[in-house]
Amino acid sequence: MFSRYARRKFSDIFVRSACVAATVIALVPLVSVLYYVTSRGIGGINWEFFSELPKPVGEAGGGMANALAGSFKLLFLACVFGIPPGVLAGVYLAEFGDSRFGKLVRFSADVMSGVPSITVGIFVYSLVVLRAKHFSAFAGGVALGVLMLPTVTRTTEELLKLVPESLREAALGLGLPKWRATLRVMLRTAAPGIATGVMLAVARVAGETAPLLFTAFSNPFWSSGLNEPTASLPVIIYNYAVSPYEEWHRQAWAAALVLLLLVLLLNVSARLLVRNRVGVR
Amino acid sequence: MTIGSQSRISKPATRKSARGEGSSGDDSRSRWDEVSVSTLVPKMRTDDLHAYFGQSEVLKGISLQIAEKQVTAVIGPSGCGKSTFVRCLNRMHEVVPGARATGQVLLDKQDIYQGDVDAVRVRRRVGMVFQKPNPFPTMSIRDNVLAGLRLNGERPDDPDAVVEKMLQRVALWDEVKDILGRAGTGLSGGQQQRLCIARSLALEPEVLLMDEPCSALDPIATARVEELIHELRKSYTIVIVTHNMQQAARVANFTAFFYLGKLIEHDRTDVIFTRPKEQRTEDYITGRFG
Repeated sequence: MFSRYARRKFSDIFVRSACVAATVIALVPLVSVLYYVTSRGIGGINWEFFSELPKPVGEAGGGMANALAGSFKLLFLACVFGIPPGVLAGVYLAEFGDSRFGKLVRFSADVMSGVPSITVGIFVYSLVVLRAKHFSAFAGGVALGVLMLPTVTRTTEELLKLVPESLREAALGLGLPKWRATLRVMLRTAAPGIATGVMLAVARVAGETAPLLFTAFSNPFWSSGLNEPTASLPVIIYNYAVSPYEEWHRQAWAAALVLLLLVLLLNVSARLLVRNRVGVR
Repeated sequence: MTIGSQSRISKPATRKSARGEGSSGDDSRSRWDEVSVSTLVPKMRTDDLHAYFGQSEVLKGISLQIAEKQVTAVIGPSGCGKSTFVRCLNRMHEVVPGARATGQVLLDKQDIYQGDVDAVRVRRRVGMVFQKPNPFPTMSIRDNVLAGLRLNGERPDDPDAVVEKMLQRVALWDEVKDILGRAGTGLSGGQQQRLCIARSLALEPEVLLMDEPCSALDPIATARVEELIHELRKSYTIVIVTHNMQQAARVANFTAFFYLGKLIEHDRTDVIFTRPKEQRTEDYITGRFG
């Protein structure tokens, strides 16, 4: 009797400590990335970093203002290209997704979310860059937008399905046409959740480098408009990190830290949005 | 097919002028005793209405008249088709995938199932209140009242006046006048249901369908909604589905008893509950089955 109890207690302690150990091991890379990037990058961060253009090799100082602005520009374009079709496709799937075509769309969205980002880069390269015969912010935005699409689509669909059907009935009972009931009531009710999903998608593509290498390319100067090659944080980190210059390495660490904080900020605000939403009952 | 109005041919339809009877239903007992379904002006009428969910036939030929500015209760055991019936009256039935209906539903002599009639228009004239209170969770109390107007793209000249009038009408104004900006879902169940009624009334419908409006409410909230129905019947034609026979007896002038998708009997509520003509009606109201 007692021995059985002792054995049970032992296996409880054993399994529990195994779980704790595994959790700690899983946390090690995360914490060390945070620690390492912060410790190496913090030194390179100053006002100049956010306000100045990169200096030529050999000159000290300079900053990444253009890359920072470029990243925001690219993310903005990604939202423009990715969110409207993504949300509307999600609405389609939630409303008419049981058709054969709907199932096909859902399946392709799932496959698409697994497509390597560099493949998307090549796709946009051949579709946009080769035709225009130059790199551009536009092409970079398209690439990031395509990467966002599947996430936005599936999030929208799932969240619309969570809205109680009784609200649709209420809306239809008030004499709203179906499209209005969907847009003004169903989509409106699911909006905070969808916004969260969109922000997580933005956070994901914010760190993408591969699809930008041959779409937005990079640019040591300010780029104006959408038709010029544009610098972005991930690409500049890549370029600077593989360079032989010590000063550039320091800048790359600082850029990595800024990018990390940006993504962290997006993630945290997405979570806060979920917590504070009036939302679905 | 036994239909209430037909089975009462023996009762002479003496009072053709009984249109205004609704509000004065109680003032003279003798006058009320002479009233029957066929003497009143029908606001709505169904004719051989069949309703289906996919292959299964839920309503098997319902012909029923709904008197104007009266409360008609629809009673019957679960699954008898009473909810489906009222949902056919404003074409909400067809919203469910695979659902369809045949036959005629006349609203002021116009068949609402005719090809060129817009279901959306019908629903604005025939409002609906559901079993579970369903205020819009993203809207304040005030916006919920205005939802029907606003979402339809209308801008009332004086929205505040509309809000006050409608909330007064459902006797909710005094309880919420200081918290109009708060979420409608924060109210109690009974308050939410009255808010939903106000939301329907804001569109100024002619008919109000209530699908078991009190089944999710406690007795006190139920009493308030019933009081409200007493008030509303002065200006609206009301059809109420209820599981609760006492409720039907309390609020309705007329009662229709449904069983297995058929209309068994339709008559004045006092007749149904005191001297029904059909054995099945008597069995049901005396609790022998259902």
